[in-house]
Amino acid sequence: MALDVELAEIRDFLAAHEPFASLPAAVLGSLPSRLSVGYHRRGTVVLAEGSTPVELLVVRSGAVELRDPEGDLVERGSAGTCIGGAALATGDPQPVTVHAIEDTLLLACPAAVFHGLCGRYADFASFFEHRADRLRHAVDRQRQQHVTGADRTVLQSRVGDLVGRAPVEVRADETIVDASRLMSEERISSVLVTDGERLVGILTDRDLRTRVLAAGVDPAALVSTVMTPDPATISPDALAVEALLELVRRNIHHLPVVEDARPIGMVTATDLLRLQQASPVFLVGDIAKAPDVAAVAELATRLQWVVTGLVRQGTSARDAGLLVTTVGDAIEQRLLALAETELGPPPVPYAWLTLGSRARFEQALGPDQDHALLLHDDYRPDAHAPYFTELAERVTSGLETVGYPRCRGDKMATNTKWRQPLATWRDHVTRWVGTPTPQAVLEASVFFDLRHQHGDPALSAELAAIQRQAAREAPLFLSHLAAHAASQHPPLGFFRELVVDRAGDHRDTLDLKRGGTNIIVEIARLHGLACGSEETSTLARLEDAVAAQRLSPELAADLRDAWEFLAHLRLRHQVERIRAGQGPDNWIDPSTLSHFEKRHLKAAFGVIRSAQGALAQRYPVREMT
Amino acid sequence: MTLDDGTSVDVLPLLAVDIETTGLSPGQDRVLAVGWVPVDGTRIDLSGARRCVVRQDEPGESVTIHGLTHDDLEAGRTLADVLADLRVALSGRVLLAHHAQFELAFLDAAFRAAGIPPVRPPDVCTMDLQRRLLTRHGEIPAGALRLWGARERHGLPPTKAHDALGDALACAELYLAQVAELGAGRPLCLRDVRRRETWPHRLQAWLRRRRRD
Repeated sequence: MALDVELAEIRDFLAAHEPFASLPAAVLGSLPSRLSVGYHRRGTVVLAEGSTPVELLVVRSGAVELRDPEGDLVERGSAGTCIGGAALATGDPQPVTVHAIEDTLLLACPAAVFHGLCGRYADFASFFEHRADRLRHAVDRQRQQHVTGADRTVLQSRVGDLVGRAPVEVRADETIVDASRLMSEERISSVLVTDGERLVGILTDRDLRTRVLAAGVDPAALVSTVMTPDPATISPDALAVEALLELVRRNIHHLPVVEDARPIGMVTATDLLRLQQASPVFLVGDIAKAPDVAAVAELATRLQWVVTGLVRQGTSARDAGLLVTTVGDAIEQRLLALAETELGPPPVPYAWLTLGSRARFEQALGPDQDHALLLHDDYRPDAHAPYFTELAERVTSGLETVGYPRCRGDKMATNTKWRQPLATWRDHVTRWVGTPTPQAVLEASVFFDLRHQHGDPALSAELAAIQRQAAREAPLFLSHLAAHAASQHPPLGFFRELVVDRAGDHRDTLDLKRGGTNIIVEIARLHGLACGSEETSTLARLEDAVAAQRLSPELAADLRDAWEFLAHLRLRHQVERIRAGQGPDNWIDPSTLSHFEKRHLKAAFGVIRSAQGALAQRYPVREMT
Repeated sequence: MTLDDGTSVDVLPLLAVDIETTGLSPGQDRVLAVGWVPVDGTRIDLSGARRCVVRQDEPGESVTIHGLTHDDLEAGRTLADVLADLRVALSGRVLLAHHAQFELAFLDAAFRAAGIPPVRPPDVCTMDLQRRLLTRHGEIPAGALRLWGARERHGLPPTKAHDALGDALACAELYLAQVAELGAGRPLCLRDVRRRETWPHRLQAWLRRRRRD
């Protein structure tokens, strides 16, 4: 009907905004003629809290503000913002008051039409679910999307997932010596031989040995004379186990991966072997037996493959963090044991403390070092300092060799300040907690994520107890922690749009850690310390805070889901970077995310904002900063 | 509902109308298409939105502006049919248009040409309302009275111009914004918003009618 075309502008507007964007084109086309249009002047109430909405309102132009019954800002919305949807969907009264903050034109969709759409289109309906349910669904879906089979053994990964780098190629009319040079430069044991884009052969180390050197062939001869023509290939969709069988059956070590007649990479026997070894159980066992630092470092390179595999198998960010932590612990313990073997037994008892993310069991890829040495009070600097200085230096440089950069803030046992007897640590804690300054609190907060790693566990337990006791009874200190947690901004703009860096190294990206997971970590730490929790992990601290009635179960559940969503997104991003041959970082480009992921990313940041708002009600955060 | 000058704008039924023509002279130029959308008080009812293309053989020079092709115009309905529909849609409603004088003059001529008794509903003109709003603030800048300039001032989104229904809807949205501004702090009724004719306009209309009758 011609009518559909006439209201094309409204249809196009709806098609550009969630949740309408998910509707089929035919439904979108007929929707405008079932709507009406209204207008609200700046400053007027669009929908009052407690009222029962009879239609879904969509901001066509202008802007609105949502405030909770206490008057606190919940959200701002510009064109495309839906109003009253959640209340309509559940039949509950409208939870927040909506004001027009600019002159605002609204589209109104009658309740009957709204319910019809909810009934027929699940994506449309899920948009209006309670935020917490939405995030939980998002977390589940996010994990499932990146699973290539939760129950699969590693050899059931796809060949395409094993291809780590772009194929290295030579032309058939290049010389053998050119091909050999390329192979040395690229440090590879085989090279693909192409004619145009077509794969015509393969040349391996073994070919160079048997068909060139042993046969006395001139290295200036063409590659085509000594290559294996028309090699066996495999599709990226094939399973790793098929690739393995192919290699074994043909007694070869290299298998080009070909998609649509074009080579896209190579799988080698070594890749497949690594895949089998990429089991965390083997890894931790092997590290504990490593004879020296170099061997530990060699084993540590496997960690990223373990994590890649886990992400592909749908592991949660929490479990992945636990695993990376376990491997990190194994490495640190092995380095300590190796150092003690060389230096002899310690002159006085000591404890090696792990700090920061690993102490919280939340280590991601690419972290730096955070640790401290806690010495028995029998420690005498003149007699014992050289031993512990040397111990700290060996372990720290060992960790560096393994791939953990030194801590930029120098929070390491090599720093005298972070290598102290128990009595001195006790004084530090008392001072931090008793007369806090914002900077000192920031420094100290790392130290409140503390876990025993090696040595005398009684020492660590005593220090942890001192900390717990002191923090709990220091409202000013807790206020400083709250102020810092509330002062960090999630990358969410005035209209709840995602805010990216405009310039510099991280242009067009946002930091999932600084504006995301870190704030949740700080909030959980604050509540954990305030209720005397012995836990160090963020999720466990949140649980304890709920049990102590410091945090509502709803907000804690929202925070947990937000943490998992953000941490999982970050983990996936890191894994992708590793596969692309880049170092893991925390900067994500929102334009690479799906509509779905962007929406939930905003929801996660929104949860953080709500939690910051709750902190502000409990602590005088504004006066502190 | 009976329409009288005391009817509150909160419940006032209107029909925003826009016509596309071959030119600007009501006596000579023909109607190509008519678009309309009802406004009930402060709500635009999109379910009543229509765009009727009038069948004719020669679209004239305005064809490029309106985007109407010969095929569109041949597929249209007779002017009498379209006007009959408009008459029904207008019944019990105030005519709303941007520069309503133009719409009224063309409709008057068209009704006559089609041999149908003309309708003379009360009318509200958004250009007239805009002039009133702007004269509150002194001199009126160039272009401020045009539909797009007026919309912009009220923060309404830019839309595609020159389609009879699009323009009728654009006019209806502008009306909502104007009424919201005029009505801030005091109740409004039809008397406050209907077009006020200046005496030269009234004289012109009277002369026109005298010549015809």
